[in-house]
Amino acid sequence: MNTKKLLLKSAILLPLSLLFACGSGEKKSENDSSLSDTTSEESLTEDSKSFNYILPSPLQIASIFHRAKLKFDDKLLNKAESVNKYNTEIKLTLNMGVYATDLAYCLLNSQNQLSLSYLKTTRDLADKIGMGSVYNTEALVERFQKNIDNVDTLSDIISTIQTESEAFLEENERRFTALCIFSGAWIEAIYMASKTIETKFNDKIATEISEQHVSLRNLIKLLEEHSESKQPEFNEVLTKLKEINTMFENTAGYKAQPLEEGEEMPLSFQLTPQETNAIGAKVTELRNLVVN
Amino acid sequence: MRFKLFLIIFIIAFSSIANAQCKSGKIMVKASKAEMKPYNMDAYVDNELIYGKQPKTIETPFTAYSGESYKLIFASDNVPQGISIGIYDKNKRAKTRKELYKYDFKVGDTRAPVFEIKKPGNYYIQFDVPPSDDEKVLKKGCMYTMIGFKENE
Repeated sequence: MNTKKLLLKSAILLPLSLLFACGSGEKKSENDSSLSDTTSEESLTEDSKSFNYILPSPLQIASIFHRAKLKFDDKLLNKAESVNKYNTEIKLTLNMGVYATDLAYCLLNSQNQLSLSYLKTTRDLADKIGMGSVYNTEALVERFQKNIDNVDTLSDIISTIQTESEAFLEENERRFTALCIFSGAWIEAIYMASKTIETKFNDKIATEISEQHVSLRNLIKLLEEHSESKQPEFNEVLTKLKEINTMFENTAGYKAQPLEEGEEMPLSFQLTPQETNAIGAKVTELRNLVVN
Repeated sequence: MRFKLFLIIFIIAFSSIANAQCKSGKIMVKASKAEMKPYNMDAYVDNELIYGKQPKTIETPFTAYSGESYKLIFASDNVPQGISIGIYDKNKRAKTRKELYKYDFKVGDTRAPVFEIKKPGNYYIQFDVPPSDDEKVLKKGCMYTMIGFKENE
């Protein structure tokens, strides 16, 4: 039997046998299945997400830095027109995250027209990566336009988009896409924060940068559980994220922070101007890789 | 061509069966928006609950950043058997940890009481899933968690 025929036969028989296995025996509710097959239980008992962690949204990260008085500088944004440069799934999703942070940054700094431009950019990207329905079902862009002077409504629209995007990706089992988006968002936020204090150090912003280390460390753990993270285009990003993680862990403040029992890492720690600039330079290198 | 079409149909059919329990995420987010106020809806996670032969524990950490407060909403539309929801200040491996929140989510419940966090730190949400009460039947359900944040005044 040649390979194609074998594949065809397997493709037909396997699903059919599963169908019949599910359909036989007593009638069960939608939530039930047989426990007699221990193999199926074993395969089901382990949650597919064996490591869980709830990542913050780009809006929350931007909000943390905004509260730390991060000044607005439009030169730090990834230009909206650059969106046409991205044509691979990885680039599209990473830059979806970059633009989500840019959008939140503009919004929190009352740059409402610019926010609208970035909202349209993220909608275009969402269309390209199969998430367009999140933006289109409630005409969110149109609602944003109508409420352009009402910051509370705009924030509400953005947080709705972000949470519904997460729900959409979870429902469609696109966890890796969600992680790629978060990677781009995290890189952009740390890039902006570190660039802002590159020449004039700000201790508060540096501490907020250190607080984002916990997200990075957990992001890496989550990414490593996905085989897609090993594809060459993303692996380069992951390698650099790991290098940045090591830089955080080698700082004097991180090493000096005592840990309580059950704690894996400190929530925040002191970063010196030199350490912040070194981490910032590495993040800039990674950001250039993502946006260019 | 027919072969490809056949494969596509089966892949779509089976991918939806494989994770059929957590399909109400967008509905849950929408339904929780009013309750989340004055917090900004920020994060969403779903956990498939599987009631097998053994009890199970699902632990999901999250970080509360300094200068912010958080509200957590737990919701479900299909818990076939009760589960216990807990929030702790340390992970399950720690010998000493404080229970900050506890709710026994029963069959028919759609929401658990909300929980607010005002202190920065790492927190651990824990779902304790009991064994199936019918030893011949593996039951499945889904728990949705929504987290909102707001800046401290």
